[in-house]
Amino acid sequence: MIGIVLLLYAVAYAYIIFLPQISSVTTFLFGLTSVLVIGNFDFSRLSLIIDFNTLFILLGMMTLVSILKENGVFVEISKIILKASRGRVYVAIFFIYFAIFFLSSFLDNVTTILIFIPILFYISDALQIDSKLLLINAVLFSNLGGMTTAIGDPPNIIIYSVSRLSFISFITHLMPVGIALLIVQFIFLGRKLRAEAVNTIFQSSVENDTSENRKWQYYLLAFVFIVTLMVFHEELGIELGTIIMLGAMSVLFVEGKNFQSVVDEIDWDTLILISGLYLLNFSIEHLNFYRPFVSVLSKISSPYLLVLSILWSSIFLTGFLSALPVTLMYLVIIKKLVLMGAPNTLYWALAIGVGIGGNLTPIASMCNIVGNNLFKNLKNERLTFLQFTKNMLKPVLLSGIISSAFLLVFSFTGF
Amino acid sequence: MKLVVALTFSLVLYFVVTGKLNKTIAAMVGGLTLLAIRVFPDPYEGLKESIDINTLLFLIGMMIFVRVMETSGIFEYIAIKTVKIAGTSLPKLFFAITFVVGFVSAFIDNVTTILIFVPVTFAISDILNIDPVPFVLGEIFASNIGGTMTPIGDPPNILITSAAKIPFTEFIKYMVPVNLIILFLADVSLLVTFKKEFSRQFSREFLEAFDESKVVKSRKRFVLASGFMFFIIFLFLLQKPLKLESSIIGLIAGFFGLLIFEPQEITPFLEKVEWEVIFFFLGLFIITGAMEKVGIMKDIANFLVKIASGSAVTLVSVIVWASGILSGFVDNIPFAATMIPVIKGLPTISPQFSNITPLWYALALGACLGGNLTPVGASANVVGLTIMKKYKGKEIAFRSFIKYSLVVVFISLVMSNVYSLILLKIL
Repeated sequence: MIGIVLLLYAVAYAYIIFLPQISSVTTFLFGLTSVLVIGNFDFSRLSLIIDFNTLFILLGMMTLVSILKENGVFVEISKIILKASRGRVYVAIFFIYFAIFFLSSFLDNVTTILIFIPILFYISDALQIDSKLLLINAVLFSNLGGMTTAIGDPPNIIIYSVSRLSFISFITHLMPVGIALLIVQFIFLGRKLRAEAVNTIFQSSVENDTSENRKWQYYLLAFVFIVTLMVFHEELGIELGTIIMLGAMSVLFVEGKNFQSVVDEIDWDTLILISGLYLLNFSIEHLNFYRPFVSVLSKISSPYLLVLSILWSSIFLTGFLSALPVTLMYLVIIKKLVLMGAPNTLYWALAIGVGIGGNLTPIASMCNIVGNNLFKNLKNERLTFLQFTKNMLKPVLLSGIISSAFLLVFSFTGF
Repeated sequence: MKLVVALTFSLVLYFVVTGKLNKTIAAMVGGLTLLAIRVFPDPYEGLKESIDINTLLFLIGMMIFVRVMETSGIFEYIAIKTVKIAGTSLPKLFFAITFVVGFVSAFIDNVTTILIFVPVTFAISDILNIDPVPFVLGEIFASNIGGTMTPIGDPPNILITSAAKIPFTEFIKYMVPVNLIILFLADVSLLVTFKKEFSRQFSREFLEAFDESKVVKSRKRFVLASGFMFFIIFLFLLQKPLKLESSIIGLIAGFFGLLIFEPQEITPFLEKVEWEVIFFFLGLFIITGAMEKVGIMKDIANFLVKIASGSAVTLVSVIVWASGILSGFVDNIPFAATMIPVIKGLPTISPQFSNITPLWYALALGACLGGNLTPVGASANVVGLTIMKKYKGKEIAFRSFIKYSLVVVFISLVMSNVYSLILLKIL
């Protein structure tokens, strides 16, 4: 039986890696088959496997993003950035990266990429800066930003749902790491950009734009309010999924919109893929497949070594299997280990590892794929697998080392 | 807490009936608010327990399945074949079409059936130069009656059979005969009403002009799609021995169909799912789950039991008529979703209701057949009438619709009442 389930698992993953276009549906079907194979499962309990909190968070965030986008919030933010930089390229680029990082930490990474990469390309065209460099960094900051909160990217959402650690503890542990990585990366980027000698002033049409539309501010305010509620979700005793979904639906409610209007903006593929992965993982967990891994890992007496091995192995695995499958696989093991007395630091190691590893290859995360597609559409160039990985290797290794230090401190202080 | 939950439910119901706000959003906001104010001690567990994920997955799967099948032309093919076979007299054609509609909507969504058959009807009425109104009305009624026949024909049945764990074959064994009779009687009543319109005759050559092969764009695909459809129907028939949950068959139908027929178009097809309906259910499940949690369901059950005053015969009749009339005005889905936990809880309240199986059938009959009562009673009514207004410029007002439907629904409910009482004796 375990053989069949493992086979299903392997084939499902083969689809994810080689045929990503149809992988959502295939993963779900393989997941369903695996649950059928292990048998004796009461399907009315299906909602115990497919985690509604995860799905609600994702769905709610997607809805909110589509509302924010529709009301021009992102356009306004990029206008403000360009205005504030007063035409100094150097400043503009860093402001944009800053925005990518912080917006990604609360919103969908792909959305931020879609908004800012065209602007970066515009700057690179005007001033002959290497567009590859700008693209790679945009993707990097988006992935790193997504790593810093419980709702930043799908892996973190899943880690949150499984670990049930609070929103606040995600921020307090992961944000410092993220900011440190951001700063270090900025220093390196600064050197490179200086080498390209860009202190020039550029003209943008935005500065003369005086169109006044205040409505977007209300939407931003509503979003900030929802995030504030998230911060206090533990005190309120409400799940994040409920808060986000209720927030999103309330905005639609106030607007008098119908649900169908946001349907096209929601990434149903991801939702179905995640449900499928949950199913696969349930059956493999049910058969105790991970037991040997758990027992091997629990034998590692040094907590430092355990944390570091999770961090580095998840970084490299994510590069090839992509973030979601790795997250779910590791979570099964980590959950067991934490139940056996291991510290929560393991969860942070996983979140950081998956976040950093998501940069390693062009297929490791959704925003790499989208970024590369944009590159092709807008500049008619394309980064090959090797080019992408070669460019990313250094920042990834560097980030790995810095976060190792952080994780060691967490383990040492018991934070 | 009871008051808050009841108030939320009535507010959502108000929006659904008046259509003042999008019903999905109203239901979701209502449900999530109840979660947020902690009607359930552990909201997370409450969520898991209230949501009937089987129903949701089944609907998602079947919606994809119908969309995929549509592209093969199989539905239009069936429609034209019917016209050819049905021959020369209008009443005969009418019976043929309505019975085919009934049969098709027994297996697929009523709205989809209407969406397929109404345009075909217009084509026929144009060529034959006849009034489409009686046909469209007959199709609407037939789709709702046909939907009553199987666990998958109408959403309330999905909910009921899923909750009561009634197997597919068992359900159709008891539901098909009675509904065929009801459908026949409904047709007769329309024939009498529209006597004048049905008096014309047509020649055989005339009907031969229709070409069913034209709707089939790719023969290979058509054959493959028919095979797949039979396979799915086959799975439904073997559901009990194979111990398959409806949701699994639905998902196989939808997702496998998608992989076989439209592997390049997965995302667009996922977007075509009526998510609005899915999330309406989701919100509603939470609300009814909360109503159950705070004990409102028990109150309703107690009330029904009190009316019935210990007699199962009265209770069955009350369920048939109450659900029939209410679901004529209110969406029958929330009503069924509300009543299910009530019926489920009956045996614990009073021992004389230990056999609740006939009550499930009474509820299914009342809730589904009552949908024929008004233009807003069921989605198929809304869709059919909307298309007719859009393409033929013929509008049927609320009152004139009721003029036609009243007899049909009255006959349906009388029949249902009698039949439920028979079931009470034999089950």
